[in-house]
Amino acid sequence: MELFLVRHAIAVPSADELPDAERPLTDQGRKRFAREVRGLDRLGIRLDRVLHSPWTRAVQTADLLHAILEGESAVEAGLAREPDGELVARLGAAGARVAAVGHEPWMSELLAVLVTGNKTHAGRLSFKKGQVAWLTGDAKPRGMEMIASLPPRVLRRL
Amino acid sequence: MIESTPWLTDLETRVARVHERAEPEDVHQLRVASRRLAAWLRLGGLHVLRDDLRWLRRVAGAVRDIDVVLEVEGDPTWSRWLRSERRVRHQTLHEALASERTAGLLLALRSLPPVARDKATERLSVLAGKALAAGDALEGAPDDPERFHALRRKVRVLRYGLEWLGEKTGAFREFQEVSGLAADRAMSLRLLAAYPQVDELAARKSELEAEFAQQRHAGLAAWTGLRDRVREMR
Repeated sequence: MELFLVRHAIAVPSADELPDAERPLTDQGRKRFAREVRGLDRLGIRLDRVLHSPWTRAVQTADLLHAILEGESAVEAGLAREPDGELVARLGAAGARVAAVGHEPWMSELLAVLVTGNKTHAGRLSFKKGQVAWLTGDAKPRGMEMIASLPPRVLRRL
Repeated sequence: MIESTPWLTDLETRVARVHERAEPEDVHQLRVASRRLAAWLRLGGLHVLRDDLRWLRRVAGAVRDIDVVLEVEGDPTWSRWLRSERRVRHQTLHEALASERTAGLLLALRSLPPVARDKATERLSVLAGKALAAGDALEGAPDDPERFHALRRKVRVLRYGLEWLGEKTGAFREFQEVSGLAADRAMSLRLLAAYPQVDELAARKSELEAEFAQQRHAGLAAWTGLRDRVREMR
């Protein structure tokens, strides 16, 4: 399968009166990520499934991916916490070209597990807001390799 | 701004109740709340979460279909089969409601910001356009059941959209009631086709087919009465 790990786009900062799960994207975050999706489109990427965390900034980021989605989206609560084996199994069963939209540090941890088999080096992986990691292989620990790490600026220039 | 409450609160209540007992009315209202929230997402321009709501409706719909048919059909053997089938489907629904997907869906809906009224009003005209297109398609082929169901869905979405904006929808309800009778017959026919002893109910099947056709035409007539009001919304 091809798996696209996506960190949510730029969201409003944390504030006491706003629960973390409810932080929406900023206008800039929304516009920038829409341009990134056009970059993915120009690369010929099409998705048959988008899984996303239930938190608002991930929901809104996933919604922008709809432009290249040919199948369905689904909320995946496992993307809003530390990744585990059950999440990895569900990703593997989700389709042939799947995007998973979530949060740091869990996206780096998920990437590390899928590529190296453990989370040990997750802290060394950089995952900017709006960044996309393009993986291929079997969704299992050490079952995937990274084809490309696409930073937001690069995607917007495509 | 348009908040997702009170329908989100209603959905949460129905999910909890159906998870425990699956009373027919709660299953029905769970689907209604889910549809209304899907219309709210449309007004907000969101595509995501509608697929999750559709999934929830599909699983609950499998139970609801049987409840509708049990209300109107009297054959004791068929009813026994339907009740046994309901127990199986209820178990699937029970598992779906206990799943992380349902919990995630409710959290995601609770966390979303309200929908801006001006944007919702703009999108309403898109929904009206879709209903009109479905109406035109049905008028071009009045005997096509799929086109009938498509119109029914589009009109329902439009009606819920109007209600989110606080508009009156009496004429829409009339269409929905008439076309709902046809949909109930279609449901009976589908479940009858799945019934292993369908051959024993051949006469009832013929009756249902005739009633379905008759009520579809009544639905089309009700649509003709509603069409001009929908045109004004474009």
